[in-house]
Amino acid sequence: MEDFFGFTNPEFQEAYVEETFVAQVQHEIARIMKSKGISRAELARRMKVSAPLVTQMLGDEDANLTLRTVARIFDALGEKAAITPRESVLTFALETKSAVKRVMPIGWGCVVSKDQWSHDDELGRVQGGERADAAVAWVDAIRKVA
Amino acid sequence: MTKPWCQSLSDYAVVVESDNRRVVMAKGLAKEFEKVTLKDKAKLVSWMKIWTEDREGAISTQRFKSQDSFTDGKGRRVQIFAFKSFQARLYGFIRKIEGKETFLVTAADAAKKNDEADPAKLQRASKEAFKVLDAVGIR
Repeated sequence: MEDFFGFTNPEFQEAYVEETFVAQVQHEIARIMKSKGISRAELARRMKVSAPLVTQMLGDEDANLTLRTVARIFDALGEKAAITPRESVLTFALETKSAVKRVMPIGWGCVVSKDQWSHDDELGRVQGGERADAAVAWVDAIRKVA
Repeated sequence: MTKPWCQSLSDYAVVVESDNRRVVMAKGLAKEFEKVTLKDKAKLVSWMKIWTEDREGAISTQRFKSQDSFTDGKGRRVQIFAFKSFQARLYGFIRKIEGKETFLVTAADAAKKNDEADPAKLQRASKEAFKVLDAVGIR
């Protein structure tokens, strides 16, 4: 693949590690909101914060998107968030003879949520994917599989 | 027999790929792309990767947004989309090429001045899109 982005540049790699993780978290939030039909205004109402604050957290600035606010967002969406090394996710999947239905092998981070835990049809692909040092997994998902 | 698309499009390179989707970028955009900040580049490639895996169409319009639609004199139409990060934009269009949904980046704007997309950039993206369709031999 063409290196338009500068993956060989250590400074870029550092930025990518951060941005890809933030993007995955933001996308997972957006995905859950879409699947549950929850608007940003509704999320703001549930979190008892202003709509612009939610927009900030989920926008380019990703302002105030901290571990604390991520936990609160997931709670407001009726989910629970957890962070775990990706290897643990895969080991768990293997041990329970289950696996992630979909893992986004994007560099050093990945995100898994509960409806992605159901089949083992893509395990081979997951195992063969890029190694990730960290992942965000949803505790409910693990409970579901367990 | 149709040539593999990569042979027809030697001016394009795959930048992100999944089992279902890929993003390819015009090599000629490299110079414009150099002006994009490191952080925006990291954001753009992150969202491109998410797009290639986004089976549910949940990607936010703040990150990947439909822009204008253009037609040529041959009855063809292309819908231009943009990957966005702050003021940086990568414009292109989507076609299924060899069984894989492909986003072809045909124009870039390293530092958009206004909130609205630059019409000249969109026009350029669509012109290039029709050239690509001619090269690949699809509508």
